Amino acid sequence: MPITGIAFFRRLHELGWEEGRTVAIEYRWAEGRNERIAEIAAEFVRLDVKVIVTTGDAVLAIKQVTTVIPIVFQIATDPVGMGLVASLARPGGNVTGLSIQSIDLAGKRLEFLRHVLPDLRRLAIMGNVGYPASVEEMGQAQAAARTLGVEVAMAEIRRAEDIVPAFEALRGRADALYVCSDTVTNNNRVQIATLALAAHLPTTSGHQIYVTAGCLMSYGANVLDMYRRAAELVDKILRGVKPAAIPVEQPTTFDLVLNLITAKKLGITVPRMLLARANEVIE
Amino acid sequence: MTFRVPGLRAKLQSLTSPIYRGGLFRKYITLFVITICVALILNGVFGIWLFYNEQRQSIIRIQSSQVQSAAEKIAQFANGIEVELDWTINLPWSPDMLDDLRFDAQRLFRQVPAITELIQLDSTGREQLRLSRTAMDTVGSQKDFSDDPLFIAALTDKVHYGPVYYREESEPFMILAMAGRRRDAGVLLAEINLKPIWNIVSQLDARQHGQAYVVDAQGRLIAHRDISLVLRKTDFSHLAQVKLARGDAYAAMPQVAEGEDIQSRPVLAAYARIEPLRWLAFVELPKSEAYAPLYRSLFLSLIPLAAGFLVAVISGLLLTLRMIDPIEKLRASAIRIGGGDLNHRISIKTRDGIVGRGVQQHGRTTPGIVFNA
Repeated sequence: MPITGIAFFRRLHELGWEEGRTVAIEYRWAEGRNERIAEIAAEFVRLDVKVIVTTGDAVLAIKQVTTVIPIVFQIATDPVGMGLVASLARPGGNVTGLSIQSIDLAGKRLEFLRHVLPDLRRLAIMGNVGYPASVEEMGQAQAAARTLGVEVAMAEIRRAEDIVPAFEALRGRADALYVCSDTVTNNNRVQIATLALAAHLPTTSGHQIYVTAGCLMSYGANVLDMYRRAAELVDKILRGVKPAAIPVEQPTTFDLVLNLITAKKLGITVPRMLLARANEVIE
Repeated sequence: MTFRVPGLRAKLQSLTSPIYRGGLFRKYITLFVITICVALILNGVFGIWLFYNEQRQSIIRIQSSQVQSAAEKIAQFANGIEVELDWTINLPWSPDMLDDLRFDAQRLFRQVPAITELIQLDSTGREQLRLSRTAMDTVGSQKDFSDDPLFIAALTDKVHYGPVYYREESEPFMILAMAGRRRDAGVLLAEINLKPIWNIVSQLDARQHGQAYVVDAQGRLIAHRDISLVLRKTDFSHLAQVKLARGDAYAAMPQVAEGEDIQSRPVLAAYARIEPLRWLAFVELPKSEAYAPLYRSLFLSLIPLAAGFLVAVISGLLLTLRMIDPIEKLRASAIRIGGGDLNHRISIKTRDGIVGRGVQQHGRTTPGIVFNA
């Protein structure tokens, strides 16, 4: 189980929902395919589940199958724009959850990266172009790079097999790497970190799991916090609160995580300013 | 005192005799029951009144101390931010201190998670540096803040808390404006996310039954255990206790008001002003919950009252029976004596002083009657 899932279930357990005793949990995996999401949603309707927990990108497909069963999204990039909810304060329908709406951190990530690499000229941006949120993030990173006068090399992937060729194509074209996180990149983060280190590319992303996997740094909303909070929303719904009455929340904590082992391997000195700001440092 | 009631059945049957049916018996027993019940009720009412006052005072004491502690904790939250900001704004603003300021700001962002943005204005109100938790930093934009009420207020008051606003019509924020000790230090604006106050209020709630919440100077909700109410921008200004508190000049000390909560349940609400934010902290307890021990004791005090009433009726009945018996005999004898039978012998067995004396007095004026009382 991914670390986010562990955070979610641990909080649920703390709130008195013990799998097999006080709550039954049905796990389904959509393999990133929309038609599979619809199938699973139809199955959940047949099972008459009390609440469906998912990430933002699956909500629309599930909403088409049921407008009654409450749906909680643990993380969504733009729930209002995507039409998941009417507004953050009053979701209105059977959907609520946690949003990172209007929080474009791509510029901040590049800014932190530039503190480490003041002479940064060329940036590679890697992301799954089959995933809309990644496409949006790639655009944001590209715009931020332009603002800073940094050249961009795009590394577009769709599945795990694309990662090695993408790194080969980047050879000699970039000084650093920005990874947009989605299921494909998340699941292959160790491979990405290893290849990046071999290619001597300091790597940044929005997710601290990349730093523990060996990437240089990450800056983003504390996703574990958001998954824990999502468990609290599920708890409310299981206790009878209607999702329409639960506002969509935004994250309040953003963590900067640094991997000094990787910095040393790359021969980089992390400036004092970043160390003062870091919430977590891996040494 | 023991009652011997020989031939009770016969006596109960004789209750249909004229004297029992008459007013004397009823009056006697009514008076007896009323005397005892009035004593019991007075005692009960007095006890309840004492208990009610005691209970109310204790609730008020507890709520007042809770609301004071909430107000202090939130004031501490604001004060903590003030202290952290204070040392970043103690030098005159100049471009060569940019890096120092940036370094301090990083530390500040790390130290105070509630701060989301920092803006350094020079002494003329021009923006020199904007640092954000989410956006890229901006240096020397020279944006003009000289007419901004926050800048003006900070120059006169040194520290000024701006009004609460809701981002995306949902999450509450506020700007704290702080001027340096010297005018040439300029003004620092810090945007503060108010959601962390929720933690303070929730921790307070865990230790009590009631509800703690915070409203801003306009009566809008800033913090509540149910964060949904905050994120929906709930207006509390129509609540009686909020109206009262907003108009209360002495709210720096905790006060107690009666009102209704947003579910229209009657509540006892303690409130205190949070200085220097001009917000108000409330600790509310539904009256049904506050007075539950009182109702319980009220119910319990009804039991001795009912028992007392029963005892009064029974003992009244027995006493009356014992008293009516000699009177009945006297009445019968009187009729016989009145009929000319002066040798008639009245036999009354009683230890009751009153009846005995009455009969003796009667005997004194009627020679020929023999007593064995």
